[in-house]
Parts: sequence; structure tokens; C-alpha cells
Amino acid sequence: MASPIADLSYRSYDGPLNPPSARWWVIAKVHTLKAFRNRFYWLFVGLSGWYYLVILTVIFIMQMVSSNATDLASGAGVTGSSEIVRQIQFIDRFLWKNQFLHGFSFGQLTYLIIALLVGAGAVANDNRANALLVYLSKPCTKWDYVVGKFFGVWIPLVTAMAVPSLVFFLYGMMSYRQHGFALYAGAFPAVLGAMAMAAALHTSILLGISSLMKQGRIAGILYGALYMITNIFTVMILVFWLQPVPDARRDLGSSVVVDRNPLLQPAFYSSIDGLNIGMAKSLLNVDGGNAFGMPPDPLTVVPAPNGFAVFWIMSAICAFWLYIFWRRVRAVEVVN
Amino acid sequence: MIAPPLEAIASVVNLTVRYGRFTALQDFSVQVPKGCVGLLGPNGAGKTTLIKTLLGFVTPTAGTATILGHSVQKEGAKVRQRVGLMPEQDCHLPGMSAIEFVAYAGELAGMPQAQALRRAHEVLEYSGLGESRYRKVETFSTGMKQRIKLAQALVHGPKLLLLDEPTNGLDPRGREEMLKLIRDISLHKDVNVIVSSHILRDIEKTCESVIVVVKGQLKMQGSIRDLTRIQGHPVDVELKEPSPTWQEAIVRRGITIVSAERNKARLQHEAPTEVTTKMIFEAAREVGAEVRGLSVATKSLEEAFLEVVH
Repeated sequence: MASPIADLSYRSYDGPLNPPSARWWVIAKVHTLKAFRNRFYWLFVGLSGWYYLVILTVIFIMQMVSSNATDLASGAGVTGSSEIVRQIQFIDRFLWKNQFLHGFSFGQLTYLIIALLVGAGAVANDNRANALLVYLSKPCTKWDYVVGKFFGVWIPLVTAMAVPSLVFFLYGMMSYRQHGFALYAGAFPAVLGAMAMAAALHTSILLGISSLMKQGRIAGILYGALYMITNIFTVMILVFWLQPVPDARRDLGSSVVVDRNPLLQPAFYSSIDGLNIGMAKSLLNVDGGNAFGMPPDPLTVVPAPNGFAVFWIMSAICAFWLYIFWRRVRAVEVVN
Repeated sequence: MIAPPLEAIASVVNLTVRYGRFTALQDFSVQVPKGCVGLLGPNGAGKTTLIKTLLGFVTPTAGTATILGHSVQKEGAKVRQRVGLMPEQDCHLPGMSAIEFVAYAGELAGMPQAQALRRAHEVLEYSGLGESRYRKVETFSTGMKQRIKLAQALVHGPKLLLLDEPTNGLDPRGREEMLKLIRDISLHKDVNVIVSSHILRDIEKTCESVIVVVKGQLKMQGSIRDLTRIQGHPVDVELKEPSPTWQEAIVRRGITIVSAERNKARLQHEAPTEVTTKMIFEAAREVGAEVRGLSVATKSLEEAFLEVVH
């Protein structure tokens, strides 16, 4: 019978070993690279930027139309041609930072899918495969595991959110500086901040749920259900918000004072989706409004919430789910 | 019956581990010698609890433990960097190929990335998984999963390897191969090994000494040779053919026949073994019998274990 030892020249390792610190980065790195190697991840990253693609296409077409109309008007010597041009060149009246908010808001569903893709099985699959025995028998602490898993999900998620916005930002800076884009350059770091918070919220809840499960798909279904249920609640609140208000004028662009139930506004933001958008509104200092650059309708727009309140609520939710995750990290099941 | 070893790789002093009201280890003290050591005991004796405590998975109620000079309680990370664990249960990292898994385990242990990958190739080759290194671990057979558990435990060059039931679920051939690997690691690769098992033949084949744990307490410790030795140094003799005249000649010389069956006999004499041997050959020459085999009689590890446990 052949020897079971395939390599008889094998020698025990006597090379360098890094000190047992910052192992979390090894875990985060491997998890992140695994996500980046997934082709579906990049597919959804591309899909999450659909709003930016549409808005850039609209701007491009409108610019073409505007350019042609200007040439025609001045060529024909039409009286008041400058007024026509002003009407057509709506791009100069664009609220650029609103575009970052819309890009972020319209990408929410794809962010959810990416979060499920990257994070649903992050801990549940480890639970099923007893992987904690591998991690904790190495010089890794519970802290390393929790932090490593957190960043292993957070980094791909925040990358997925940031890439389309970054492309839009760079394109805007190159092409629309003269149309006021540069005035809102600060919107990009602001929306990045909102993305960091949104990714942290997704990551924490997902890891918390995942740590309670032994199958990634079950964890994914539960998180998806939680997200959708809270989102339906937000939509219901929006329906109430859009109810006709007596004695309110619907003049576009003007400020309208409306007496509404004071609970409606916070209730609108009482969902994962709502918290993310609320945080983005606060950081961008906008209330939102109609998409594609039109001025906001004060009757339909839900004003931005208090940024500090949203921050603390999101932080508390993150802390709660991360605590659950932390409690679940055990190399051995100890039955008292 | 406890003989403390000269050079200890691990030291456990008055260790008590409780799970709620249940005491898994009670005032347990042991010095683990270098080499390959078997951790024996019936199910629920506390073997796995001892291993888990040595790795810091379980916090002891009282007592201390040191491995390779590092305190388990205070320097857990340093201990785990020098120790490799092959757990009893199946364990792997989902979605990874064998090479990715072992390289990752190396990185987790502190190896630089390039070294970890190089070593992963070496250790998989050594473990006999060279041809399956790019396969997903989930698709491995039980035997291959046992081997990859060994590979991930070995990758960072530990000075002490803890093997918990390493032959669990293996067929006879796979078991034999695993035992050969363990012997090679302990004898030729300068790695100390603690094998926890309730399969006594596995321990007998791989280990030089044993620690017997019963009901959370150290029952016995020593080399296998000492433990299996029978008091009074009896000798087992095998003749070519049964010979009653030879037996008479033996008795005439004052040697006691402890047992005799066909052409085999176990003899006991107060004199040293060398003197007894000489007398056995003289008796054979006197009656014209032919001695085919002669050895100092020992009991099996199983017999020794049962004596201790009961």
C-alpha cells in the first residue's frame, strides 16, 4: 500500500509569524475580496446607478435640444430669444445636490440585494460549517471576528453605494462646472457619509440576524422581510402625507404652511429605507423633491428629519444587533 | 501510578471547570510530556473540556494552565499561535477551496500572505490532498475532511498539535493512513501531539505515553510501556510444538507456569528476566524442544485502561 504521506520532504514551518493583533483585517479582507469576485455583485452595483444614468441621458438630450433651439432662435432673429433660451436651459436651475439624494434613494432596493448577497450568509454559513472552531483556535479573538465580519460586509456595501455616485460626481465636475455643479461639490462627501451610515445599518442588522441562523438563505429571507415590512409602513405613511390638505396652496417653489399630524414625519422615517434616506437628507441639507431637476413640491415632500436624532437611532439599532452578534460568537456550545 | 515527566510541554495545576452545576474537571493537575501523548477516558470524562480549556474556549472556575511557557488565561493569543487544533466536529469555511481554506487559516495564525499560500500547498501535499487542493471543501469525503482539518491545524507550524478524535468516521484504510500521518508528525517533524481518543488501538499505535481522565480527574499517567508492564516480569514463550516434558523441566527449575495453551506458555520467576531466559533455553535444550519466540509479557492498553477505570 502506498504511503498516505504524499510529500516525504515536508518540513514544519519555522518562518515569521506576525504578532497576534489586528486579525480582524485578515477576515475583512478575505470577505471583501470574495464579494468583489462575485459577478452578481458588480451587476447590481451597475444597476444601483440607474438613476444617474437616466439623469445624465436626460441632461445630454436637453442640452442638445437647448443648443439647437438657441441657434435657431438667434439665426431667425426671434424677438425675446434670450427668454426662450433661459426657459430651455433648465440645467442652470438644477438642484445638483438633490440628484445625489435621488441617486441614493432610487438605489435602495439594489443596496438591499447587494447586502443580502454579501452579508446574509456571512455568519450563518460559518455556524453551519462550525467555522468558529477554525477562527477561535487561531490567535483570533471574538472582537477580531465581529469587527472582521462587520467590515467584510460593510466595505463591499459602501463601495457598491459609492461607485455610481463617484462616477456621477466626476462626470459632473468635468462637464457641468459652468452650470453650478461645482457649487455643490460638498454634496459628494455628504452623500458618502449617508452611505457609510446606511451600509453600517444594513451590515449590523444582517449580521445580527445571520448570527442567529444556520442557513444564509433563511437569514436573507428574514432580513428581506424585515426591510420590506418596514418599507410598506413608510409607504402607508406617505399615502397619508399625500392626502389633500384643505386651504393649502400648491404653488410650486413657494413655501406652504400646512398643519399636519406631527407624528407623520417621524413615522415616515421609521424604516430601514426611511432612516437611510432621512440621514441622507440631513447630511445633504435638502428635503428632496421631484426627480430630474424639477423644483420640489412642498406639499408632497416630507421634510428632512433631525440629523442628530436619526444618527443616534441608527447607532442604537447598529449597537443592538452587533451585541446580539457578539453574544452568539462562541467556539463551543455550553449548556448550563 | 502517576509518574511526572521530566520535560513538560503543558502544565495544568488544580484546574476546575464547571458548566453550571455540572463539574467537568475537578481539581485537575497534570504535566504533559513532550512527544505524542494520548488523552484517554470514557465518554464524558472531560477530555474535550480539557482541550477546550487549554485553548481558552472555556474559562476555568479555578486553577491555572500553561502551554509552552505561556499562561492560557493571560496569553491566550500567544498560546493559540503555537498550537494547532484538529477538532472532533467537521469544520471548514464555506465556499472556499482547500487551498484557499488552508492559506486563510495560515493568515489567521499570523503568517504573511505569500508564506501562507506557499505553506498551504506544502501542507496539502503532505496530507495527501495535493490533487484536490482546488476543490471546494464542501465536496470532500469524510476522510478528506479529516485530512484538511489536520492540514489547517498544521499550516502555521505549531509546536503542539491537539487532535480530538482524529480517526472519527474513517474507514479502516483511512484510519490507518491518518495514524501514519500522526506518527510521522510526532516522530519526524518535531511537533508535540496530544491525541484525544477513546479508541485505544489508535493511541497504542501513535503515542508514547498516556493521560487517563475519568470523571474529570486524572486517574493515571505514564509511558505506554510502563502502563502495560505486568508486575513480576513474566515471559511469554512460544515453542515449535507443544512439549509437556519441557513444561516439567521448567517447573523443576522453580519457574511458575502462569498459563499454558498448546505451544504457548506464560512463565514467571523471581529472578531477573535475563536469568529466566537462560533457564528457559536450558530446559529446551535438555528435552530437545525448539523455542520459536520469547518476549517479556505485557498486557494490552485496553486491559490496563479497564483496570484503571474500574
